[in-house]
Amino acid sequence: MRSSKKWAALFAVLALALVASSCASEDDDSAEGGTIVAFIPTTTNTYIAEWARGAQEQAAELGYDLKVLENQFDQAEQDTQVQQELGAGGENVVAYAWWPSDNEAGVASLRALSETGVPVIQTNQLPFPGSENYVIGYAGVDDRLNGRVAAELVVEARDHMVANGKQLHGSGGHAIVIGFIAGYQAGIDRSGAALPILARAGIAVLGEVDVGFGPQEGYDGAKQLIAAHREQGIDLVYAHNSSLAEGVIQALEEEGYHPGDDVMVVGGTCHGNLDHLLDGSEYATGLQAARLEGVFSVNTLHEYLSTGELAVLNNFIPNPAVRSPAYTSVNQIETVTVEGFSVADLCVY
Amino acid sequence: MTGSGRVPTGGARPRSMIVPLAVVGALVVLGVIGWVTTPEFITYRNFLNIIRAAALIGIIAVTMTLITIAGSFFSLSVSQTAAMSAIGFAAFMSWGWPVWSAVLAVILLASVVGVLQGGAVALGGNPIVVTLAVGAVLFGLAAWLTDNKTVRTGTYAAEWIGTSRPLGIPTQTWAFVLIALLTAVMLTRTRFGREVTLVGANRWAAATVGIRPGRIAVYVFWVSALGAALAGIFTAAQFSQGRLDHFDGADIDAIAAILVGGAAIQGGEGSALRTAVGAVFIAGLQNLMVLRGFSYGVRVFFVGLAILVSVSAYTLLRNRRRLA
Repeated sequence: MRSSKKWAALFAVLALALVASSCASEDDDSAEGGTIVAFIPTTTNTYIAEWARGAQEQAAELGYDLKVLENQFDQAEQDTQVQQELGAGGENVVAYAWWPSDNEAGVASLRALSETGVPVIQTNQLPFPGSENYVIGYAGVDDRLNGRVAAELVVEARDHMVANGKQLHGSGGHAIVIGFIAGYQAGIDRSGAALPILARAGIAVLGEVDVGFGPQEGYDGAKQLIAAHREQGIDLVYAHNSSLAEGVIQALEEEGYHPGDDVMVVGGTCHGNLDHLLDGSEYATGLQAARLEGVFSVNTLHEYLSTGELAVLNNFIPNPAVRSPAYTSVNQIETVTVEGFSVADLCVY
Repeated sequence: MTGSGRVPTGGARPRSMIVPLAVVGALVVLGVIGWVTTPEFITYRNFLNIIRAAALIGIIAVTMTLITIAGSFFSLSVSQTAAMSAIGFAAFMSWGWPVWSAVLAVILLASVVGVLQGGAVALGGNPIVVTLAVGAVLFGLAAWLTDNKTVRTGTYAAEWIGTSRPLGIPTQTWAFVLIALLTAVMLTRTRFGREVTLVGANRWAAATVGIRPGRIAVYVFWVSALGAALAGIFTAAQFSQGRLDHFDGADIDAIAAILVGGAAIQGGEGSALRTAVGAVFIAGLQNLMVLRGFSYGVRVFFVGLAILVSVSAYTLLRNRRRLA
C-alpha cells in the first residue's frame, strides 16, 4: 500500500513536470517572428557561448525565439539532433542556423534541413564545397581572412624584429603554429590561408600541432614544439587564437625565451585575456568577435525572412588587427572598434 | 574496523614481478627507440618536459588508481571535479580570498564531491553510473553558475603555485612525484592500503576479517577527488583562470595511464608507481611522435595501440600466472 502511494506520488510529480514543461514550450513558441533553431557545438567553449549570447540577444530584439541545440564537437550527436528536430516538426520554426562540428561529415544533415524548405544559414565555417546550394547564405567569420590577417601580422612582427637588430634563425625566420583541434574547419581554413603567406615571406614553418582552444592546450602544444625545434631556433609563433597564445607565452617563458623580444607571438582571434597584448608579450591579434558573429547570423536570417533574399551571399564579420601598444604609437586596444563595440567589449569573456 | 584487525598482506603465492617489469620494460623500449631515432628525445630538458606533460593527468590517475584497486573500476567525474575546482579556485581568488583560504575551500568542496560519490557507491551504486551522473551534475552546475564564461582570478597572487620551478623543476612535476610516492607508500606500507587491495581482490573475504568495503569506497573516492582538485588548483593558478573545458578528456587519459600501468580492472591489483609510469609512458610516446613530426591521427592511433597492447599483454600474463 505504501509502495503504491509512492508510485502515485511519483507519477503526480512527473505529470506536473510534463504539464509545466509543455506550458513553458507553448510560451517559447509564442514569439511573433517564430523560432530560429541553431545547431552549434557546445557552449562550454567560451567563444561559442559568447556567440550564443549575441544571437539570443539579437533574436529577442528582432522578435524571434532562438532555440539552441548543442553538441560536444561531435557530428554524430549533431546529426541525431537534426533528425530529432525534424521528427518533432516544429511548426513555428522559421529558420535554421547551422554551425557544423565537422563541416564535411555534416553535409547530409545540412541537406536534410534544407529539404524541409525552411531557410538555412551557415555560420562560423563556410559551407563545405558542393553544399552551398543547401544554404541561403553564410553569416559569420571568414577564417581564411583571419588566417591571412594573422599571417600578415606574423610577417610584420618578423620585420619588427629585424628592424630592431634581432638575428633571425634561417634567412626569413623560423615559426611554429599552435592550432585548433585536428579536423576543425576553422583551424584548417586559418592555417590554409596563413601558411602560403608565411612561405612567400620566407618564413619557414618548423612544425604545427593541433591541440585545442585554451591556454592549457596552447601550453602543452608549445612545450612539445619547443622541444622538437629548439636546436633550429624559434623566432615566431602563430596561435590560432589568443587563448592558445596565453599558454604559448607561458611555455616560451618557462623555456627561457622572452616573448616580445627574442620571439614574437601572434594570436589569430582575441579571446579572453588582454594582459599579454597590453604588456607586449603578444604582438597582435585579430578582432574576430564571437558576440558579433552571433548577432550577424540572426541579422542575416532576419534580412532573408523580411525580404525573401540576401543582398550578399557571404556576410563576413570584419576582422581588424589589434596590435599591442608596445609596438604602435596609437593604442589600438582603445581605438579599434567594430559596430560600436570596443576591443574590451568584444574580446573579454 | 572490527575483529582482530589483522589484515592479510597478500596471497599464498609470491608476488609476481612480471607486470611491473613489463610496465618498466615498455618505458625502456620507448626510451631506446627515442634514443636511436630522435637525438633530442633523450635530453634532460626533454625528460623534464615529458614528466611535466604527464604531471596533471598523472596526479589524477595515481589518485584514481585507488578506486581501481578497490574494485570500483574508475571515476568518470574526475575531469568535471578538476574543472569545477579550477573554476572554484579562480572564483574564490576573484572574491579577494587569500590563496590558502581558496585552496582549502576547493579541497573542502572536492572532498564533499568525493565523499558523496563514495557514499553512493558504498550504498550499492554502480561506480560508473554514479560517477557519470555526478560528473554531469557538476558540469551542468558549473556551466550554469559561470554562464559558460571564463572565471578569472583577477590577481596573480596564486600564479607561483602553477608557474614556479623549485630547483628548476615545475611545481606540478614535484607534486606528481610526491603524490605518486605517497600513494605508493600508502598502498603498500599502511593498513589502509592493504585493506584497499583486499577489498578489491575479494570484498566478501575482506568483510569476514572485519573490513568495511563501504568505508573503503568512501575513502578511495575522496582521495581521487582530492587529486582532481589539486590538478584544478594547479591549472587555475597557472593561467589565473578557471574554465569549463580545462580538463576535457582527462578521465579517459587517466584511465589510459592506469591501464598502461597494469592495474587489474576488476580490482585487487595495481600500483600507484606503475600508474605514474603509465602516465609518463603515454606523455613520452606523445612527445616522441611530435618530435618525429607525426600527424594528429597517427599519434592517436599509436596511443590507442599502446593501450590495447598493454591491456591484452597484462591479461595474458595474469591468466598464465593463474594457470601456473
